[in-house]
Amino acid sequence: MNEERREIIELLLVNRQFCYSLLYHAFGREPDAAFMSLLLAENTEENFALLGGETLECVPAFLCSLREKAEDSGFLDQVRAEYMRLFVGPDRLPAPPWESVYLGEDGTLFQLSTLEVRNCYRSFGLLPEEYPRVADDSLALELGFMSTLASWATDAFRQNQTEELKKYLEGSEEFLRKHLLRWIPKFLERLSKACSEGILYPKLCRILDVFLKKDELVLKEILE
Amino acid sequence: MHMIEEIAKAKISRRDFLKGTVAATAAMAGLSMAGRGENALKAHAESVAPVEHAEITDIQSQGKWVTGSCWHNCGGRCLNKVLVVDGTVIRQKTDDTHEDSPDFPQQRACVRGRSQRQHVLSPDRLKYPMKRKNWNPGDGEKHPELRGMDEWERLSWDEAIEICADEIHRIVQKYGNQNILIPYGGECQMVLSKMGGYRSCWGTNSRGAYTSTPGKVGFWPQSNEGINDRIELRKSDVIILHGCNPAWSSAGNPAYHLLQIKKHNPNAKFISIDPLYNDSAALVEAEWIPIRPSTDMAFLLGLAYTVYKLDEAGEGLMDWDYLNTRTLGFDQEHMPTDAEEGAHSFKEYLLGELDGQPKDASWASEICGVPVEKFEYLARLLSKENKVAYLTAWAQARTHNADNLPQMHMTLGAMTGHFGKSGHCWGVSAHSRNINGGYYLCGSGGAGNPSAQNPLPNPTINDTECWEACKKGVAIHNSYGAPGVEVPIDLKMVYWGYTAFLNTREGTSAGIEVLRSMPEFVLSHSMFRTTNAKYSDIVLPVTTPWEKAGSFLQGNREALIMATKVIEPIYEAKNDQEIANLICAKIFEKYGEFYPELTADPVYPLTEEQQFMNSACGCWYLDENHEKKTLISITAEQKAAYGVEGEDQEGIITFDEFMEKGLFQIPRADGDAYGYIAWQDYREDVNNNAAKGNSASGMMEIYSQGLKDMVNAMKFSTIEAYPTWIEQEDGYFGTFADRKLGGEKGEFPLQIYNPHYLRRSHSDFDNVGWLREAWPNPVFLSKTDADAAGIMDGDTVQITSPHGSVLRNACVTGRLMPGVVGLPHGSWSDMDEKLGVDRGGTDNIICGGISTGAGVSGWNTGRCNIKKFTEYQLPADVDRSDMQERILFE
Repeated sequence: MNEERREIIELLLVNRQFCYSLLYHAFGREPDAAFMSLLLAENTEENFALLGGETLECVPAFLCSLREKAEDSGFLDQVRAEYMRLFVGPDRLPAPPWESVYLGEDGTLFQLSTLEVRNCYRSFGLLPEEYPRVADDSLALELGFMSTLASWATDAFRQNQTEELKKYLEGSEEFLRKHLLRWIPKFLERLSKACSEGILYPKLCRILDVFLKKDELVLKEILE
Repeated sequence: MHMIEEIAKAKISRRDFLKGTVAATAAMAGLSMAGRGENALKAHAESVAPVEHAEITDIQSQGKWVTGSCWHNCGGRCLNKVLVVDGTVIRQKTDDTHEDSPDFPQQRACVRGRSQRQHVLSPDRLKYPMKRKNWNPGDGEKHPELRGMDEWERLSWDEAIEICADEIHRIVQKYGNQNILIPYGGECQMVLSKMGGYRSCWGTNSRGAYTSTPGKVGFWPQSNEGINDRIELRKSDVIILHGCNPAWSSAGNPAYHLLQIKKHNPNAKFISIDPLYNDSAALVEAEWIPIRPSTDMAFLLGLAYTVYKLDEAGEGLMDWDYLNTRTLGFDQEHMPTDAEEGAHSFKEYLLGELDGQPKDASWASEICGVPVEKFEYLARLLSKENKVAYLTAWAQARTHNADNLPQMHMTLGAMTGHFGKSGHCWGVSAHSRNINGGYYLCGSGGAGNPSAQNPLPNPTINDTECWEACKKGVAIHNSYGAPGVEVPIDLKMVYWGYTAFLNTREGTSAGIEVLRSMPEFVLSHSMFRTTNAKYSDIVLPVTTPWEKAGSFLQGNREALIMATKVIEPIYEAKNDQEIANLICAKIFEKYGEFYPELTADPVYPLTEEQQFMNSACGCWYLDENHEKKTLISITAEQKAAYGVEGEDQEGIITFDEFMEKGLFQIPRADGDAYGYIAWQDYREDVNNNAAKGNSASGMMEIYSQGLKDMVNAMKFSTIEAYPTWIEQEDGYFGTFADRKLGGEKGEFPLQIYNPHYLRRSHSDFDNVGWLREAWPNPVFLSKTDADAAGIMDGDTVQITSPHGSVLRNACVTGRLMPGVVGLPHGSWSDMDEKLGVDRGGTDNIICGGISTGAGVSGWNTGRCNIKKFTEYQLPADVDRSDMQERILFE
């Protein structure tokens, strides 16, 4: 592998590690000032832009308008409320962020997909911290898993552990294909319909949807 | 290939980019996920090769069938088994523990039980303690007006328990225990019982006038032992279903048992007297006699008059021997000794000697709508010579001014002698004993928990009065027949436990008004965002029985179910008892000196496992000599494993076998030791004290001084000592202008009643998608009334009563009596805040708090108008989201 190629692959690995980490934290807890400042930092545009301008072109405009809104004193309250309403409750969640809701037969939690996802985690020596009280196939846990594998992949690459690297990248590609890419489009559709006036999450979810499709291509390319 | 190539061509400094990204990633990784463990992964001890779950057969072999509780208040208890694989519920099945037969039926689940998985594992389960955003503890702003519309914030359990403890203490000290309302819910009551007490509610719930009346008039027990058992019922030739619809009201086996009567006796005559040609009537091809809701007293009086007159004319319909020797008060010759001076008998009233109005068929017909000619027809069918099973239910006694209705059934049953003989019975067929009367043949032991003792004097308010009393600031304390005493209330806190009170008791609109103005703190334990939780300040997520160690469940008399833990508590849900323990411990820690009843010991000292084992140890069955025997064989080791001390015990089924099967059931057959004929001992030996009812005389009292004195002392409204027709404010008379029968119709020209509906058990299950789809919960309109209002099937209808307004989509049917509207019971409220109408079609928006007699909740006495709603088409409930009003609010 030539030096340039190696450098670019490292760049892509680090880039996807960042993107997954950002998306994981975005969906993993209600937003606070620390998260918002990282989301609104300049590099966010660049990192998403690396994957090709066209498909992720909504990112700069979105961040730009967010930065404006973030000046308002009530902004953080507003986005926190949006998070609560969409992902926590106590009201009926308009687009529940669990895979089984979209791929299962009856819209409930703890189904076959939960077991399948748990098995993916187990095969990499991971489990939800609150196992078995939580459904493994939640959006946040799945993104946390992808984020973890992305970080391990970067480490393996840097340490020239080719077999390990291959395992993490193949695992990521398979998980994307079998899980996230199958349900996120449906989740996005439902979320967008239910929360068209949302400031943060409908857009973030659209970015997630596009990013995941891009990442599949990135993984395929690196694996080649 | 092109991504790498494109980046190679891009004009970026790869070094800077890499550096920047690494730094940003590190910053991101530094963000705290503390307290959000549900979204975090941890390293797992060993790496496990993935198991393929493609084939359901593989899953079956990996999983374990566990009996999951089906715990709802439907009256039935059916076997619900769930296949659990690694803490995940893969599928459900029902009873396959033995071959099914009419005599020894499987305990098969209904549509609701089979949807239990969707209920317990719904994404809508409350997962974390939550606080309403604009409500602040202590002296902070409360914004009660935002209840039901506010945003929410998440709390940790520690924060939530601390806030609850502080607020409860603050309100007790500042305002006093009498201003804290805990309508129902044992665990919440336990907390306040240790702190000086609380106001609670009492009510007649499902049983209506059958709550207090039977015990006074000697018609007890109803419904448990009021009718013959299901095998004995097959010997009846005339089966009258008077307001009795087991197919909808008691899903599970009761409708099947009804069908067996027809199978065994193809010539049996079935008659259904009901506003609706209901599914049970259809099942047995019953003759339908439509009747107006809440007019059953007039109907029965007309029927009694007709029976009396035909008998007098020599048709021999009446059982004079039974009437004269087993009842008191029919005529002046048989008055009870405690009758007040100048007391009249029932007969004088019936024949019109007191008011000049004989209660004949034409009088009754004008009120109840049953055609005059049907009275003689029915009277002859009721002849003492016919084997009649007269099956009524609680619905018609869930009406206003209905206190004498159970007594009226008893009177007509006694006149025609349908008590205590094979093939004959007259009583309540409902709930757990629908189409199967009789005492329990098996049962479970107590869990060993302490019960809350409320130290507050005169603590209770009647359900019907609750919200209006809060508004007025004064209530009448008259619990279950106690004489009425006025008590003040200045509502400062509401604590909701296992109840759907705001949704399932009268006057939901008034309740919302009270909650949006009066209390400083509303706290709710809940599985879902129910109507109670919606209007609360703090909601605490609780576990379902699927997440608890185990329990015993019993519906019909023959079967006992052992349910065990299916899954671990999901997310942060806690057992109600544990919440009570935590709140009490916090109050003891911070404010212990104020509450001498509180100690360092938990208020619920037993673990779930101990409670389960205690119940198991006490399980019993009746042997063929009707001796109570120990049911389960349990070893001392097994007891110890559940934290219970004790010796080996010997029963007829082992603990392990019971757990594996989930079911113990006594096989039944005609002629076995367990047949049951209601009132048989009483008929056979009137001097047998054990067989007597618990009226003052021990006899069936058609004149009951005890009933009259009790009801009239409760200070809601008055009655006579014998059955009489009493007009109701919201009844049929109220549909006319000036309340004149046959005159011009008034503002609310239609009657409305609340049939039970198979989507739900009361309000439970209303949020299950499958059930919403299968049971759309329309409003039932007769073709005549719909045509008159220009309403087509499927149109959105606004239904308005004197108490509130709701929306539903119309089901226009020829099965409903014209003049009557049917609004299914139990749907969750979903207010359209802008228009002030309830999209959920909640029955208690339509029913208001009207207090009569013995505090009977009168859900089937109602009046309304209907009009086509044109603002929007109401979406089907399965597609309806409850999100709208907050967006409007913003």
